[in-house]
Amino acid sequence: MDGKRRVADYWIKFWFEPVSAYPLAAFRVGFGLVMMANLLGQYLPHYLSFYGDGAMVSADAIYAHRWLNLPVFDLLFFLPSDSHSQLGFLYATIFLNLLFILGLGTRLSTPLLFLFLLSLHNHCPIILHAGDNYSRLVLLFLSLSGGACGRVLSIDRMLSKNKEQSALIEPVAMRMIQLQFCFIYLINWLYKICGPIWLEGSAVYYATRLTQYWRFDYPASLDNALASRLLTWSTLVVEAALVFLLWIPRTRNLMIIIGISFHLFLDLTFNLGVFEWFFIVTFLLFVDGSFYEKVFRNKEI
Amino acid sequence: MVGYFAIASIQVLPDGRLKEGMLGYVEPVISAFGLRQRWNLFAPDLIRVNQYSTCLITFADGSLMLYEWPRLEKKPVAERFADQKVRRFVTEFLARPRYKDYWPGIAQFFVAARENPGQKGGKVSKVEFIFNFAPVPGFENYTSREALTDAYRRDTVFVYDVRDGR
Repeated sequence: MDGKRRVADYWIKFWFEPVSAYPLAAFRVGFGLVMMANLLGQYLPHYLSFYGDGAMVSADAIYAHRWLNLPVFDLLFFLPSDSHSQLGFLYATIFLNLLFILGLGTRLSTPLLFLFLLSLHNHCPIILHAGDNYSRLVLLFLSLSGGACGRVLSIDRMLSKNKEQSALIEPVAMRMIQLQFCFIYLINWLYKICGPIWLEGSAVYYATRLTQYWRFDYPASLDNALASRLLTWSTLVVEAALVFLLWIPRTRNLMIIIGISFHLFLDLTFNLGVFEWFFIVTFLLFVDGSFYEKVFRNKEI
Repeated sequence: MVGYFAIASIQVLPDGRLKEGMLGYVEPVISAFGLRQRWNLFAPDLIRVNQYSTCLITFADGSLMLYEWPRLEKKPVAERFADQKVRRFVTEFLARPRYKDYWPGIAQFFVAARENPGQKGGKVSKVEFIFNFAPVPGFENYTSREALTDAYRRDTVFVYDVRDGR
């Protein structure tokens, strides 16, 4: 009985015991900035090639072949398909993202941003990368948090008449994002250990030969078989460690540093959009609330 | 919470009958809330071929125009970032035979784009999608990035004849 009770207590504590609002708020700001880079830097330059009348692949074709004519949520279908209306929708999404970053009307702007992003994704799923999928899931969790992500570090907080309002939140949304984050590492790791190239140590060699992913020049000192093997195997070790050691207080800070360094290296090496940056900002959720409390103490934001 | 991760787990199962059968039940929920996910980037295996795509347009008078999709490795770093959606579209969608149902529609896009009275060569008569590829040498023949070949082989995978409409 005691064992069952302990598990139940831990479950309740994990999901519902109030925690500092700062980690989730810091994540909101970081995540919003990465999202802005995605919308302005990657959606906007080629938007009309994929959305509206002039799209290379028509929305009707996507609806028929991808969605098999089943209903999907897409606000763009309610708009005229001319370029002004379609572009207006993207600008509206960018505006909502700005509100989200600033923490203005967070309770409303967050779910609206999710619905606008979901529409952009459903309307043209053929250009989405893993970072897009991750951002959509994160926004869903934040939408259901009832504005918890805007409790502090926000204009909402500055405008609030009740300055004494607690800077504590129920961590459900935060936990969902943390678990989703570790779930991704776990699944990716499981797939990797099923692949001979990961076990023999050649995966990094093959990945870094694919010209479509090239970003900066690859350091010549790493362009050899031994380095390739070591990098491949250390990727397996780091990803497995991140799944578990981020949850242990004694190893958490070390894993945050290792995790951020790992993704920075990947971002410099591979051109994968903003995927790595979505992951880098997620580490903000694992930083202890007391750290933020010290930084933002006495600043009424 | 448990339901969410159950749905996520079904989606990341290896392709097969089990996954297909279970997805049938949860697909409406996935679509409604945008829960689609797949996390096997670069795993368990990797494509071992470099590729770029071109589109050869033939006009009524026999003249040709070759359109080359952006090759990010040839571009400055900032443009590599901005062209990310195009890269995703070309290499992971357009160049994949499993999406061939879309090819006629994309060919029609090229026809319409050249549909103007002042067009040299007259109307478009044919559109061909050509995928150019160069296999990556095996790990046992370790080849540095600088030594990778620039010689690509061409493969015409789709021809759209405007008169036939297919």
